[in-house]
Amino acid sequence: MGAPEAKMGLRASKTAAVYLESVRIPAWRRLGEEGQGFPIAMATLDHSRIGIAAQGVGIARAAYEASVEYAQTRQTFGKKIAEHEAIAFQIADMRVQIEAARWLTYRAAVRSEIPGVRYSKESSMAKVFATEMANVVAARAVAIFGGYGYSREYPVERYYRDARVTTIYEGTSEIQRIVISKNILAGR
Amino acid sequence: MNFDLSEDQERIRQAVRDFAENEIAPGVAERERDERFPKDIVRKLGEMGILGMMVPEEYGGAGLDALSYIVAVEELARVCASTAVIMSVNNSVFCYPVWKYGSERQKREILSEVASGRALGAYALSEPQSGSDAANQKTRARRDGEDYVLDGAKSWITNAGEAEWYLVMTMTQPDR
Repeated sequence: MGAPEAKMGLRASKTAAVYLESVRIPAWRRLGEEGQGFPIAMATLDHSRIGIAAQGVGIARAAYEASVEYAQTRQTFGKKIAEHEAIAFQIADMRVQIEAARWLTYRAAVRSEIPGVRYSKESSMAKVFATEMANVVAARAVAIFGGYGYSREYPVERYYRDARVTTIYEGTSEIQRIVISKNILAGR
Repeated sequence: MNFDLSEDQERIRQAVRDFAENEIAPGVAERERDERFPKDIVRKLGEMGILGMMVPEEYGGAGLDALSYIVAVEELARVCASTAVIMSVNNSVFCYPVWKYGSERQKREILSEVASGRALGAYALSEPQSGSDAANQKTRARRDGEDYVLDGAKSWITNAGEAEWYLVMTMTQPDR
């Protein structure tokens, strides 16, 4: 095992390199037949990307809920910041984005269990939308909290850092767009 | 089209939310600041059946549907995204492919341990030179009698060092 990576976010999870040096594994542990590894890995990602989309939705909800609460407490110019349209509209946009991402994600999950139905495109659509949404919503939450959003004393900066990797791992946003466009252009 | 979760799915959402707020939220900022893996929380998630949610009960899982799993990930991520990724890796990149593509022996001897949370799983696909170009694999498995012998390096492995089981992508016929 390599040393644990020092990460921007997800810091309570452990991530490290794994080095294999003449590691002996009984052949019965091989998953699938020889030559099936790559197709199995890709099918696995079709499924797992829906989970990453759900992570995006969850992180965004945390950022949104914190923002709604804070905007009804913090005052500027003699009124709650939620009463400034600039903040109120951001809250509205956050909610719309979260709902849209959530339904894309739930639809992909339901579709994934219909026998014989392909769902690579739906899984990637949920992943790219929900994770990019989480980054936007977490960034807005930081803005709404102002200096407190930049401080480790408050949770929103953690949401911002945790959101960042969701557009990278289990296929970057660019990879999702490749999957989506290839499926569309293949008529699927 | 029905947009409501079923009663069972709602019950799972509430149970995971309650667990997240009561058991995960306390100390979440400190664990993340100190980079401390939440061992006790992961053990409790296993006891709740949250680490192998879609795996049939006969293989140690909870036998639930995909939407139940997705809702559980969402509720965990709302409180602690680190816990959510530990859990989602175990469920969807370890348990799922072993359940879908594994042999009966693999399901009995390996999946039942990981889906029940008695052991943790990890998934090793990326390599130092292979990320988005996932097919560009250098790890090799050479057949030797009843074994394979593996050589290579894997990068960015979630749960590495905490997991007992690793699903490793490797080339058996590199020339093909």
